[in-house]
Amino acid sequence: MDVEVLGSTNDQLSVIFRGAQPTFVNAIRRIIMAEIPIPAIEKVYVAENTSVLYDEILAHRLGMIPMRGGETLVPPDQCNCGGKGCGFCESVLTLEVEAKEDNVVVYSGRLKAEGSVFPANNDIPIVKLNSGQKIALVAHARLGRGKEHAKWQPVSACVIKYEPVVSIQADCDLCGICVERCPRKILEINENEKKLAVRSIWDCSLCKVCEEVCPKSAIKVSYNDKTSRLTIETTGSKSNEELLISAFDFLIKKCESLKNSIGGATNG
Amino acid sequence: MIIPVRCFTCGKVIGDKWEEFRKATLSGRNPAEVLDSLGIKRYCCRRMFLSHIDLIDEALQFHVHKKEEVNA
Repeated sequence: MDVEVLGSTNDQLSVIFRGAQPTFVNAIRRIIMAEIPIPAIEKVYVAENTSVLYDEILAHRLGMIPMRGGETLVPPDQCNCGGKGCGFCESVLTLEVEAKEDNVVVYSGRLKAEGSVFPANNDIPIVKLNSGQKIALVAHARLGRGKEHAKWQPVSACVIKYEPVVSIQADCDLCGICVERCPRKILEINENEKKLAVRSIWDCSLCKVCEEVCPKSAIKVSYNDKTSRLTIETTGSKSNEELLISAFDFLIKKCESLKNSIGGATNG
Repeated sequence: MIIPVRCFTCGKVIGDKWEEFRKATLSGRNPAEVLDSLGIKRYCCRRMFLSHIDLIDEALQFHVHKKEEVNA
């Protein structure tokens, strides 16, 4: 298996896996979405809320804010407290704001971390207050997985695409119809070599419009499922690279536990 | 009411980009261009911005100040 990083921006990472089964790449994708533990606010104790939003809406908004940190937290199902919530499996954040003037926006950056968990993004509006309105609350964050609730899913988009293959036959007469009709504009005519060329193969959506419009049927679109591109878009809790590495670690651990249990069965 | 923290469909964090979007569109820029520059590519996230109305400003007008309550 050959891995190539296609491109990386702040929140997105594209990686090409060559010579890997699509099922294997999909396993990595599903682990990233459902199995990597990240922290999120789970309980909110509202002491005072005179804002125009109900406590429940406020709690839901707080839950959706991506959180960083929490490396020292114990997963609740492995904690000595039995998952009820204690100092080892929960991290506390507080929010206390009283507006002195009208139209004060309370941002996620105002959440004060008492433990190791803190907001990954400080610019998310939580609520808007008029003068005299007050919010005072304590929030408990804990580790969780994407399969439990979407707030613990560390990625927004996480998708796989097979490598598109566009083959141009020798009887192409460079009429240029396909170049014009391609919705993704990936085809071009190379004037020097007098050949039809593909500009950016990964932008091809496999729509086969070029196949349909070609009068000579000289262009064929197919795909190569031995090569897939995985695109990860983090919400900010962990970096894309961290997510990819922990997904592989998790898969290795799962395979080992399967191997151990099968080994145990044949020996015993 | 107030801009949702995340896109309903894909879960991308969008709350932090609303104020920039609002400022830019009010100043006359094309919303499509603003969304592109903010990195909002998918149409699920784009509709979150285009269809949002900040009703919290309306709700805030009905808030009675504590001092006024005493006077009444």
